[in-house]
Amino acid sequence: MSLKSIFIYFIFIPSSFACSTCTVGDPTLNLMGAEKSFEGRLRFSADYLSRIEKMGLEHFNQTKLTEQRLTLGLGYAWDEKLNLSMRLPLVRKQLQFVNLAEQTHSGIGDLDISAKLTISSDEQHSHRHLWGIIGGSRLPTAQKINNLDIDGQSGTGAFVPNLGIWYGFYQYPYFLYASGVYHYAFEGFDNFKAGEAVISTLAGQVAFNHSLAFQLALETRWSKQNKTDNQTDPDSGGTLGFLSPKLIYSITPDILLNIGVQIPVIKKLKGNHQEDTTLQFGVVYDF
Amino acid sequence: MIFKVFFISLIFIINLTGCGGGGSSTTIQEGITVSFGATPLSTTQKLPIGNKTFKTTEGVQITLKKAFLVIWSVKLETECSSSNFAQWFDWLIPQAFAHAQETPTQLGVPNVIDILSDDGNILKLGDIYPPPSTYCGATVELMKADEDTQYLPKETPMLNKVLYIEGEYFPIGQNEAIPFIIDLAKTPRPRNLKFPVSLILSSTKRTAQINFQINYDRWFDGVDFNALTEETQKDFLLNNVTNSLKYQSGV
Repeated sequence: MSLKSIFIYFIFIPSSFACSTCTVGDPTLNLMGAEKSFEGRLRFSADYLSRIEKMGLEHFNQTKLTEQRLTLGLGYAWDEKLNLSMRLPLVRKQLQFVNLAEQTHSGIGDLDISAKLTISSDEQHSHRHLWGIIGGSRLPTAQKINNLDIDGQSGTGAFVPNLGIWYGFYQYPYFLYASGVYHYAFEGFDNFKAGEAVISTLAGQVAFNHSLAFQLALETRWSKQNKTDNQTDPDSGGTLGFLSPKLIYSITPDILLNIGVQIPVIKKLKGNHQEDTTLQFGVVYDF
Repeated sequence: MIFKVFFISLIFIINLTGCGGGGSSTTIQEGITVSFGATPLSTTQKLPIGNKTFKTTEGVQITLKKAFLVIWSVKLETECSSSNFAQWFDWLIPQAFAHAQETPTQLGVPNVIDILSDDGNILKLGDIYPPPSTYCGATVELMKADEDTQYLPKETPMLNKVLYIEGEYFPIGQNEAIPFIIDLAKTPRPRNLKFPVSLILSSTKRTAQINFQINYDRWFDGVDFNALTEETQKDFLLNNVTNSLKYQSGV
């Protein structure tokens, strides 16, 4: 894998699920990258994350969600401008309720498909500026488990189409990336409807050498409150921002490893809702 | 060639997810559950279903031909030393309109209790799912019924009523029964009840049944039947009704 690939790797930020229905970060970039791709490129990724989310008041009505998620991805470059990808999460969730009830579930989550189109490649300046649009949808492929809380399901069982724009600036050893994506969720399991969300990513990366790079991202999510049977969940919605430092290391030219954390720094969530630091690591392989 | 690999992988994943997730596992462990119940109960003898006849402490014989009471909410308490739990006289508080809130420690489903049902026959009010703790008592609120109230009677409209009674009484020394109707929508102060033994809920004690008895034969003690239409007597009656709520063993 070339230095350029490492250089743009900060984009390989795995999708992290800041709630059962929402994402923070730019998942399309994990597979597609931000560089100008070449026709026929096939890329595989595996991303692991571990996180804890708490909803409600402690010792009163708090529910604690512990989640481990392995997301397998496959990306394909149709041509230099169009990238396609699909991502399938394998999820393990444990819900602990205030009355000591517990629900543990492992299963396949909702399949995510997306496309990323480069509209402007700035050929006058050696492709220093790239920008384009991102679009796709999460598909209701998760199996609904009866008697399991919606937060304990491996997916929401809803179509979640999304559309946004992205921009990348490349000047070795620095790289800058920004994106904003709007998500609209249809009704899923148990008449649950996630609130509309806007997810943004602003990230910078510096390469120390040809094998090692450091990236720092600010990933935010603004969302409306979730609804079940048209009843608003008071402990949902609001604005959340993560500071995400990450190390990227190239083992071989075709294999990249990454490890990082997402530290919640903007916590303007509605109701009683708390997200802890997320741990994540992953691998990307170019065929 | 590569596109074929991509396409085949896509088909594979869709098939995998479409076939039920390709294998999943789920375990569900029940947590702490507290069930509430209530029953009408005479303090002298158990009376069967139907009209209830009894005497007040003054010796007035009462027969209830219809009697419904609305229990609005029940809440488990961890602190019972406050003044709220003192047995001082319960004055009426202004009417409340908000729906009872359902929380892990509070049953927010209102229930209509038919006082003419069997004495001792427990009516299920509902379940709550509280956190582990030591609970020393419960607070019971009486308030007028709304559309979400359970056990609303078909013949007697109980919406916006907290207490409805049709009956008759025999004044002392007289043989002629005098009918009366009481229809109240006022909200009395909550009834605070201490448990004789604290209820300790934990990982090893996950279920409990808490029942309340309604000693309806004490409702008219001290009531001036000649002034039954006056507000003071209605308030006095409602205070008796509140105080007739007792904790019944079963914790």
